[in-house]
Amino acid sequence: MGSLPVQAGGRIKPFDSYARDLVLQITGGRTFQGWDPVELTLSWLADPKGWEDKPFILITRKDVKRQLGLNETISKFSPKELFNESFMAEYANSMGGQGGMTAQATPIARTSKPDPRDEEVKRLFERVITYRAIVSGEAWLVIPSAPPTPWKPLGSPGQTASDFSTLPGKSIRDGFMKIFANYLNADRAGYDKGVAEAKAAIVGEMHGEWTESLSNKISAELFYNRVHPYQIAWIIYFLAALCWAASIWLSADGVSAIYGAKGTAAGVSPSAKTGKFFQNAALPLTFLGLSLHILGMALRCYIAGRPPVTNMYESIVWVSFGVMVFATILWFIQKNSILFSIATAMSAIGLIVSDAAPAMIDPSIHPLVPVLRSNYWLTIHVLTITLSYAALALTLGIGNVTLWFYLKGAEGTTEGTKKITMLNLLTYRAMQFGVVLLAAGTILGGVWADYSWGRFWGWDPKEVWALIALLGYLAVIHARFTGWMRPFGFAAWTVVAFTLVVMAWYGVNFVLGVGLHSYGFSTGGQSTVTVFVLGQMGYVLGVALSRRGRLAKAV
Amino acid sequence: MKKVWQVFWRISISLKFAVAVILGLTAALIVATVLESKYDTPTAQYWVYQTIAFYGLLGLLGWLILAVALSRLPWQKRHLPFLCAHLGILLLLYGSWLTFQFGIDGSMTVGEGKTESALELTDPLLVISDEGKVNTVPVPWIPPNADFKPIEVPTYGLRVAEFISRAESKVDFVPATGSLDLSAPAIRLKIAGGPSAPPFMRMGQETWIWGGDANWMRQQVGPAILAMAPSADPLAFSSKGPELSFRLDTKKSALLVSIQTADGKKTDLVFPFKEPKDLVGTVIKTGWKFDATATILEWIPKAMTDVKFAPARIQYGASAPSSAILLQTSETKASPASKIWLGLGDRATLDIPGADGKTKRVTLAYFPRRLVLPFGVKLEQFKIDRYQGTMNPSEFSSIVSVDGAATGEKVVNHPISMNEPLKYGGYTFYQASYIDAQPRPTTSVFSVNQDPGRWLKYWGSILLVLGSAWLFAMKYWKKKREVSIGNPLLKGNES
Repeated sequence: MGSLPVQAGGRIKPFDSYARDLVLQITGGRTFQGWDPVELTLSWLADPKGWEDKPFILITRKDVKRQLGLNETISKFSPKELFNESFMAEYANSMGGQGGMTAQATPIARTSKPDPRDEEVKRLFERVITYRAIVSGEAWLVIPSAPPTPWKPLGSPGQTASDFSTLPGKSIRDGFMKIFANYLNADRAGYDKGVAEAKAAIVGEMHGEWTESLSNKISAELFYNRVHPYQIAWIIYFLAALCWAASIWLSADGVSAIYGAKGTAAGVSPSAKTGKFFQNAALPLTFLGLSLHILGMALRCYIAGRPPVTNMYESIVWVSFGVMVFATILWFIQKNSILFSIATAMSAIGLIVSDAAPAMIDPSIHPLVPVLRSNYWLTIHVLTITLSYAALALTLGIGNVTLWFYLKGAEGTTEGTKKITMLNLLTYRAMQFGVVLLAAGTILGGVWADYSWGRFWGWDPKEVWALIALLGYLAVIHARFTGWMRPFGFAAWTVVAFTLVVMAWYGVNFVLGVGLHSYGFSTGGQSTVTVFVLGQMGYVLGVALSRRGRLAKAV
Repeated sequence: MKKVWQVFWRISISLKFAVAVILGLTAALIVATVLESKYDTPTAQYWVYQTIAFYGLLGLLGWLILAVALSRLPWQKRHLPFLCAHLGILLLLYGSWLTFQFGIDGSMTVGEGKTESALELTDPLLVISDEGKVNTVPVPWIPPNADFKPIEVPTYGLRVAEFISRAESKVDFVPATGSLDLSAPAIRLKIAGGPSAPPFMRMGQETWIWGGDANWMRQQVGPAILAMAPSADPLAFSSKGPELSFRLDTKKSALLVSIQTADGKKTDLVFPFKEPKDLVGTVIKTGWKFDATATILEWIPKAMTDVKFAPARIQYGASAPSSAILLQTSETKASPASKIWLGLGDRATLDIPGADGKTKRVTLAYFPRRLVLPFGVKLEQFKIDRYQGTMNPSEFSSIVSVDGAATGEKVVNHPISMNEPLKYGGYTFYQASYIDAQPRPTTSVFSVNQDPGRWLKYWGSILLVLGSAWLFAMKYWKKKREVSIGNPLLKGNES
């Protein structure tokens, strides 16, 4: 059933992807109570009575629930509650028909921001409308038409099954009727037969539109959805990070992180032997994770036909990949397994974050606005910028680990100082990559803007925050260069400076939400990101205080 | 003097001062983006990016970079990457200044099959034409949260007394004045239901009807039509439903009313008056459903329109409307001060007191500044593709031609699309947007500019990126050499 082609969101996609989008939109989750999205969508259509009083429609804001007279302690509501027991209908009326009186009563808006409560009410209406369209068959655009005419839906409100025979696409509708009937009767064989018939009928009606390449893309997308390579990748990355950490911990001198340091002492102590074992396991795991990561991105590229950096989800995945790339490059400069330990951990965190909040970080593949439809510019500008984020993310990781060593008092020993110096140097190298790429990416953005809009620099918030981040990192680099920042200060400021990247990357699109990069705007996650940033600041401050205490004691 | 210079120089090449300037710039930028988020782009531009202080900060940064480069004199080979990066920044700043100072940035709207040569620039302009002489007065746009300082135009004794950044017009009717007689009768009525009507109908609804303009002649209130005849001749009923038709009998000085009910019954009423205010408060029983009545709230036998502007409900963001100005003539013994509102794009005539004591008629226009190019661009065709099954555009482009009579260079059927501009006659034409229409849009909007700083900015960018990459790489190689010759433990600071 998942492989049936359907027209949605401006392209032809497998029904599986469409069902995932619908379930995500209505319930706010990737899945709902363990239901497969395809089956859930099918069940909504085939058995609307059964879903009448099951709570599954999401409302996020408390004030909206209060406004609608609903229970504020729960977040999902049944169609019955919404349609019969809330004030939703009244709201729909008042929002739809604005009379002269109400228009005049609207006060003068003092800012350009829409009220977030109104936005959520709007989203709720969209959820409800989508659910109704699924039940009525309107949302199922499965009857092909020659472009540019849109495909026709399976049904529309007020239509009954008996009307189907008189409408176009009879054989498709027959196939679907068979699917629904057999689904309700739990007749697997009949259901499969219905699916096969419906698919054959749709493909038959698509005539020239059904090509080998479309068929391959649909299969690829189905595979991508089912396997979810990023999820496996992060689990493996996580294991790899543990192995790297264990190998460092157990290595010959107990703390040395030099990989392949012709350990004369290695192989003597039993812990070093175990360390070697972990080290041997870590490298293949890392590359397995990386391969899956690349596979996922390659599939996405193939399905969408463009570089995978057009929204927050794709950029997080790409940055996680970039972290691995830079770790590998730096590894050739400084053969140090701590790099991979940090990079795999960061990539794992990145991939987890990208999958953690699908309602906020939308994982589905959407069509692009016209200005972005240039693979050349998209590749060189966006990939450069996001690669710089990756290099800077790596400095964040290394910086945090450096601070950890300070916290453990590594400064006091020769070994520890050596390690800190080395980590500092790695941070510096990664930061150099980051700064050059950030400057290049920002300027390339200017060149693109000049080329397609006719202005090189327009003080657009995204540009400005990229510039602020650049200035911030330049300040750090210059301060280290002139010696104002000692190794500790450098590590601490590296961590703090990443806040600027967070603002340029996330903040402009999700908090400020203005400017020409409007195609990436969304909302949500403020509290999580704030906690992250404050946590980082707290950590830096804590380490600084503990270090000061220790130094004072030493004197 | 020499000492002052020395101190100045020392500060100029101090890295600490440079970092302070960078931090100041960063703070200004943060404030600007927050303003832009809370209000909108023009507001942020006005408060931060277009201020002298901000330009001063950028200029100061440019000087510091120049000073630090000069301080390394005489330059040596090893300074090359450092000079490259810093020269890059200087070129970028200088190029941006050139663009700001001498660049042209406008937009051009062309319909299919039409030829256009005028660019519309953003800054508004008051154009005063007086017997062939044309004077222009710039009226710089300011955001709603800024204070407007009146602009004086002494030549005509005029002043731009008020400015509304985002204005909405409101039409009112006043007794006609002036020599130009465009007047017609106007009446403001309140239609309300009687006690048997539902509550919202009992509250009633007010409206103006005016005979001077087809748009105001007939107004629909609920199911009823109210009409005002432009002259003394009766106006035929326009419907078979409830209708109330007024006309002025100039000879008898009376307001004549014809009423038609839903069942087609007609009644005529006469309201004589000495002064127009005699009729204010008169209640006309219409005989319509719910005992509806029409109450005369204002009655002006010779009325003209009076357009006023007020701040719009939407004050910020892309959907906020354009600006409006209030012009005022100075008061003289011969004539009292007169006022007129002009919305962006409006024209009006105004009698102003001349030097010889006589009044002089001038034409006023409040328009975005326009620039006429020496050539015309013809839109042959506008094309749009949409994502299948949706109205979202996937691609749009224009096919244009330029006949080349003025420049000698012909362009035939050249495409301009989102990522494919056209360079012609020193200008670059970009596909900016289009005006949506059914069944398909046929009007294309180009953004057109001339940017003398472009090449400086490109070279600056290249130098900056290559210079800094080189700088970093050089340090790395140097370090590597040191390591290979057995430099002991590396310290955190490299030089």
